[in-house]
Amino acid sequence: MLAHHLDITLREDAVFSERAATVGGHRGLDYIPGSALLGAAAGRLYGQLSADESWLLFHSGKVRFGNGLPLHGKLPTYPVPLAWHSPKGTQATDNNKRLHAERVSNFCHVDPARLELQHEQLRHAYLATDGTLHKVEKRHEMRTALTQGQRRAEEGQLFGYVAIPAGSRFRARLEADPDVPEHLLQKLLDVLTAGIFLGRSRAAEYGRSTVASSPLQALEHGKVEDRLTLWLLSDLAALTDQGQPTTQPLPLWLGLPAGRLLPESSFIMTRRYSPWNAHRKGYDIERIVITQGSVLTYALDAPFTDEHLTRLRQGLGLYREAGLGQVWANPPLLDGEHPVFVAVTPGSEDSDTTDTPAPKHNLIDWLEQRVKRAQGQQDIRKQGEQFAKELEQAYMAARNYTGRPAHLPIGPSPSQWGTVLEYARDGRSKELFDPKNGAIKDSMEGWSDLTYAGDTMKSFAAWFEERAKVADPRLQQEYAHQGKDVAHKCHISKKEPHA
Amino acid sequence: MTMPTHYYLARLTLECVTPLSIGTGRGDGVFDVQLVTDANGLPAIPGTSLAGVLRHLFKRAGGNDDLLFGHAGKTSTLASRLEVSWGVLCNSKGRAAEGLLPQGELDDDPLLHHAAGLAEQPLIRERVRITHRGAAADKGKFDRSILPAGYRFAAELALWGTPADSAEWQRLLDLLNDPAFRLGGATRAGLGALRVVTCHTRTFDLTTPNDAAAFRKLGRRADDLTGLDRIELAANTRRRVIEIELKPNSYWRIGQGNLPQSPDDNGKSADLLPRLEQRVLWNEGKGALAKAKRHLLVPAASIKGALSHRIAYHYNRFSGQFAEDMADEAIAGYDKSAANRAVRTLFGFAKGDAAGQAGSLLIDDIYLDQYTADKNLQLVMHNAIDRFTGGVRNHMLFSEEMVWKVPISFKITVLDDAVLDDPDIRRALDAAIADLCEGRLALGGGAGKGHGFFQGTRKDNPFSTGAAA
Repeated sequence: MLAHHLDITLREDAVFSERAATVGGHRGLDYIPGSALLGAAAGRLYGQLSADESWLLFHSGKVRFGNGLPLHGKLPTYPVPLAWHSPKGTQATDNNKRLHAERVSNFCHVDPARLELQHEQLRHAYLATDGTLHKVEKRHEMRTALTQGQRRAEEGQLFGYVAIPAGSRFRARLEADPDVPEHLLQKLLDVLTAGIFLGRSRAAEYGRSTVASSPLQALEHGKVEDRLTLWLLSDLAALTDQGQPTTQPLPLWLGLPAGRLLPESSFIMTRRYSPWNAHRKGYDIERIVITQGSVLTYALDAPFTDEHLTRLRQGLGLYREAGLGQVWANPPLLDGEHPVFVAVTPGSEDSDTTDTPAPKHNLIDWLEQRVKRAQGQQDIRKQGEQFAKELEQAYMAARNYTGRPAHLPIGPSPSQWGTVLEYARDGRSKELFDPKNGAIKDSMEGWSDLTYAGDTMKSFAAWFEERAKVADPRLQQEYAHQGKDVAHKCHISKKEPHA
Repeated sequence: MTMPTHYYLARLTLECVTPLSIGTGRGDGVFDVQLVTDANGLPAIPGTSLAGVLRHLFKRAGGNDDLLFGHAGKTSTLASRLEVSWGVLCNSKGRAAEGLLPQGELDDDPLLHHAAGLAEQPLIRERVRITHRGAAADKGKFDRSILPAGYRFAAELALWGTPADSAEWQRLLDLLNDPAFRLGGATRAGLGALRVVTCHTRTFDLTTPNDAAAFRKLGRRADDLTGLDRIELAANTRRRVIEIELKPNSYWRIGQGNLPQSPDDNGKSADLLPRLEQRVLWNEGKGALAKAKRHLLVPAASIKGALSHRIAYHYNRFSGQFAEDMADEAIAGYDKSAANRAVRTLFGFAKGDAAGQAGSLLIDDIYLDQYTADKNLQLVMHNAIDRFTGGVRNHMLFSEEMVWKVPISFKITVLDDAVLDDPDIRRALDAAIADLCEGRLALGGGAGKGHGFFQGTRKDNPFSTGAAA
């Protein structure tokens, strides 16, 4: 059996629609559907092949174009299993986006009723085997069609695209049954690795991609006895024995041993869509599928044989040639109550370009400055908020210490803070505490009031000087601005001091 | 539509006669208005700002704006045939600072360095709305970030058309000399006045090989003038102008400045200062911020504010509206900007129940440099007296730096003569100007102490006779 990994790098943004309907906003997939790879190859090869050969490669199901799932550095990723849940309101990942295994509960084995905290499902992300959650970045862009003579947007032709940005990398599986002739498969690989266009608007600025192939490492399915857990690595389109679409398939309907679905250990999401066939310029029959990431758990009544294992490897359900039906049976990650991740190997998560120094260019400098400035502004906002909290406490401490009633003023007034703001805005921050020309003096009404700072008493003037002296002008402006707001609340308070 | 064969092009250098304040529409928490900037962080004029003002003026001048500027209707639509570029700031050598500039280039050029620094340390004008009682209105204090006067911008106008568009193109260019061609915010409060320093144009007939070749040779930069001809735009004399010269009776101080010029013997500077501001001056094509002498500023807003209050008073008197005839609640809630027809007509009003209206009188900010700090800026000491004890209040001794006898001249441009159709409005305007010129109306602070009163002359004739009666 031919089996290859296809590592796909997007050289331009690419658009893969979740559904082909034109009504409503556009929602994009965060992976490359196998149908896009199949279509790209078929578009190049169909004219060169006989009808039988075309059928064999693109329609028989003997050649399977897997979905392109994102690569996290050098590691492949899989749709995060929907059986995994983490406590609501807590951060399930660390700063490197790596999951805390102890905070992830596998509801296939954990009874949610036993848990103290309410849990939420992990979704819409991909999982690398080292436990990193990978989210695919998406860009939303508006497009419009122009009228020819008037050069303005045509009525009803404003639409949006959600695109995966250029530079993103994905890995797909290309598999074929042993009876598919080698030379045909080579042709397939040749057209794919020669550079292809994927997704929508390929004639515009989207979809240019390069593909590199390498030998496929087969998934190691776990040992199956009387319990079978299927982790769907792609959507699954299943039929009942009566030929009707179903979202709760029995194992027998999937070509597996007889058994029953365990609903309490199964986590199923579904969707329905009608694929667009670009060649025929029409919709294909509507599909009702169980979405990738879903987990199906079965109790088997009959033994699981090698024949079943082969069937698993070939994929389950319909549309396997277009990437559907790929599953991982009894995967180690779904074995216990909490997952066990493989140890991080140094360099495994780094992309190939991480160590490449940035080229010297005005634009790079500019971008770096923008990032630096944005971070600086964020820091200033945070420090300002912290200052406001401390100042509010200082006002309360002063009022409590003196026992001054709520309706009598204490500390600097809003207009005194306004003067500080004026100094800061006019670039006269250095003069703020100047004994001759400064706006803040220990002898001034309000500024001379005492408050607690740690375990010592200080005037508001000294309290503020400690903070403002080390602050840069922009931070001083923020302090003064926050000071004005706090003084509006606290200079004359609505709350009585503590008895 | 006929296929365009001609490309009308004008490359302009515009100079801010008064500070420019084109805001982003939002503040940053500390400043109420942030200036629109380009990727270099330099203040810029958005093309939409230029196009919007030109379209408005073009329509008022009788032009068919839809044909040039396009329109979007239910039955017919057309894209704009006029292409308006962004206005790009010029460096100290008058070259447009186009494209992404290396940091070194921004730092080395004094004008660009100063302009880029405004993002972190904006230059602002403090404004306050005064009620009919003469006090600051609740939440009436605000500020506007500005780009100092004198900065220059390079911009481009282009029109795709046919030979038949020649007249419309000329009509459009003439608008650049209209006093109403002002950009940004607070244009009725002295800001945003522009003048065309140079205008280079050419009409390319793209059906002829010569013009097509010239078109191809032309560079894309807004200051590339290859093959273009410099033209002088016709002076605009259509607007009525009121010219006033004022000689102060004694001291005056307008606005709150931050640049003390006359410290006392102990080195302490005054608590209240007149407003001084830098501006860019150009000499033989080179621009520099006038550092040696900052200009004494008379913001147009202070003249406008004083006049509008006095006009409201006179209009009420001429039209027989007296406080005695009003209920107490109506007096308490009185707002001249909403209730006084003369004020609404002459100075405009904000958008509320009805669509807003810009004012019809234009006054520019005034910069005075004919003074010396020693002679004309003097310290005046004050202290506050306790109302009960009659003694001096603690920490209430303060000083004021006052301007001594520096005269002020200014012009008021009437944008639309129709606003003077109402005889009471005419008389109210005349009477308020007469008050200003005859020492009955003060400008700036300290009127209660006798500051800010002037004797003056009005150059043109009053609109009505017996105005002050």
